[in-house]
Amino acid sequence: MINIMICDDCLEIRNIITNVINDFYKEINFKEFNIVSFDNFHDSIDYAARFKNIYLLDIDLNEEKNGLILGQEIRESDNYLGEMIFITNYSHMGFKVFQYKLKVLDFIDKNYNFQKQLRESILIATKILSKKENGHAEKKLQIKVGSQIYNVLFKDIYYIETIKSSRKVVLYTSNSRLEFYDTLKNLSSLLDDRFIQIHRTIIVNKNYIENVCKDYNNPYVVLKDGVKCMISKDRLKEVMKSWM
Amino acid sequence: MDVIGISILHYYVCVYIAYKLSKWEVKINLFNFLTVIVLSIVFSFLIQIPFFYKIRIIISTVNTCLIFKIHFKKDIFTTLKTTFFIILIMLLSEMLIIAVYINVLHIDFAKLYKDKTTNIVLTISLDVIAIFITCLKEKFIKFYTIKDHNNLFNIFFMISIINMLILNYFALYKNLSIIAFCITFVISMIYAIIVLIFLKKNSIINKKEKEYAELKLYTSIIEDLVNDTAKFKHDFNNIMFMIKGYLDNNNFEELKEYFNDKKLQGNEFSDILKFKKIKNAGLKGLLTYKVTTIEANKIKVYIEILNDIDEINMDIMELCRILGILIDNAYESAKNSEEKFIAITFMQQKALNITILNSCNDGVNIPNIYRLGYSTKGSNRGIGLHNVKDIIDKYDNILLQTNFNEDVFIQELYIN
Repeated sequence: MINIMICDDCLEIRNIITNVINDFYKEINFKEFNIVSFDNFHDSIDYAARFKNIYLLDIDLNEEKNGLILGQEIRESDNYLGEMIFITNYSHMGFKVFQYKLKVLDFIDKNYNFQKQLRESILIATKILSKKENGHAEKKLQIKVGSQIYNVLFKDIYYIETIKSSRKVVLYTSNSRLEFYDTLKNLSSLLDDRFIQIHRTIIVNKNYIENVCKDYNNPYVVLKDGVKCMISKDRLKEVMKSWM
Repeated sequence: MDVIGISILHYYVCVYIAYKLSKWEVKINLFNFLTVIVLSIVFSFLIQIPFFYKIRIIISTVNTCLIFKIHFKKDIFTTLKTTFFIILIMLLSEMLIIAVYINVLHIDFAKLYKDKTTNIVLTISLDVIAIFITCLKEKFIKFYTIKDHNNLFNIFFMISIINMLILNYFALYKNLSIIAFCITFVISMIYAIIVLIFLKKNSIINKKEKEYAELKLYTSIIEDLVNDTAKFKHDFNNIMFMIKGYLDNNNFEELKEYFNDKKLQGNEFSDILKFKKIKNAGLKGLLTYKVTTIEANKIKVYIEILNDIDEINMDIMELCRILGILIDNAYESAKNSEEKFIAITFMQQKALNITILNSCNDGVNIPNIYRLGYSTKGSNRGIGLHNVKDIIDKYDNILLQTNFNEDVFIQELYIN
């Protein structure tokens, strides 16, 4: 069952959207859906917290708060499970931040090919949501920073290290560097056997080890992209065994 | 011979301390050096005569006075004052040293000045302690960033040394009577109160100065903005005038073309006014300044500030440094990209979240960019990010996320 929530302060637009979605689902013969629409902030947040949804939000709500804040507050309560689509008067690159932060599927311009864009977005959102219900995904690490949630696939993780004299740890992948509060002990219990702790402060993904320098006084591993991580002397044997 | 050597050393230590305390220029040349040697020789001869040995401290003082007069060339009163001051410091350090020698090392007091080696060791350690005390004072001034310290602070310093000497005098030569204790205690209390008032005033002055600097920056930015607005008004008048020309001729077709050409759209305005939701003047000033300079270079900056930003749990100066570096990097990288834009977002959720996103077409090797000296191009970029990391590692309540995907580079800062 897919719940679709529309929040727009203009009745006309709410009706247009509802009609487009109804038509579209009829065309592709999809029946398990339910549409609700609101014209204000509070009802939307209440509803969003209870169901897994597709949200269609108007950016320029005629209230103190705009649609982006609504999106932000929905994300604080829904664990990033719904798919969010924004409807705007003019779309610009500045929204990229929110696309990334609020995991927004798309920003649809009211004045440009509205119906076509809406249909496409709804199709993608429906596919994603039904996939989430059925298939089991690849193993991933869920990281919470403030109210933001990052999902990092195990296979993408290069290595994790602690930051000196703080509660923070840093996780590296090929295209990101994430800081969060955790302990290596807890993390190694979450990770699987493709990871190895090579130092009191470092956990490494074995698949990315390219070389091991065995110099007894100063042993280190070289990861992909030439990143060096030191090995503690008493763990050197273990590292060699797993790398060979 | 040893006395001469020791005296020369001692006099130069005095000159060094005087230089440290007063920051006067000092010139050391052959003439100066010769005077010091001559005075040392005179001193070493004089103290062999019993009468002069008794008043050796006076001779030494006169010598120091003469040396200062020659080295610094100041008037007699200032020289006397400095000499007095330095003699006080010397007395204090001598007392400390002797206390250590007698109580900790158990050396006989009578032997201290008679024996040659102990005498040399004593004088050298005395000089070292005296320099140490002077350095301590300087550290103190730096630590509290005290302004205009030359006169006032030296007086405080002197009072505290005199007070210590009085206390010690009573403790050493008289039995520590209640009266003596009361006198020193009262002096110390008064002294402490004066110092506290002084420090308080000093901190207020420092704060005011900082605020003033922020205000100045902000005002200059406002002035730039007013200039921009004036320019815009001028352009706008021109456009209106041209439209009037088309209308007068009833030339609607060309007017339409002109309109499409010019694309008179609302989003051509800068987003800078959105910074009004940031309440801290310094931070607002920095952001406004950075964004205006970047927009002047034809790179679009999108700004979105969702909530009022008034509470920031870190030193504002350090936050400004971090954001300055991150925005500079974003500019450098956006400049060389196809889409040429930067987006800056502030959100106050559970934590304050600042996001800086820029278009970026070159691949970025994220595990490496925080290393010292790493840089994709240009000289200063790697060092910048390394500094950012150093500042952030100091704070336990700040997290930095770096991300690169689909042609955008994203830096997110969380301040809890």
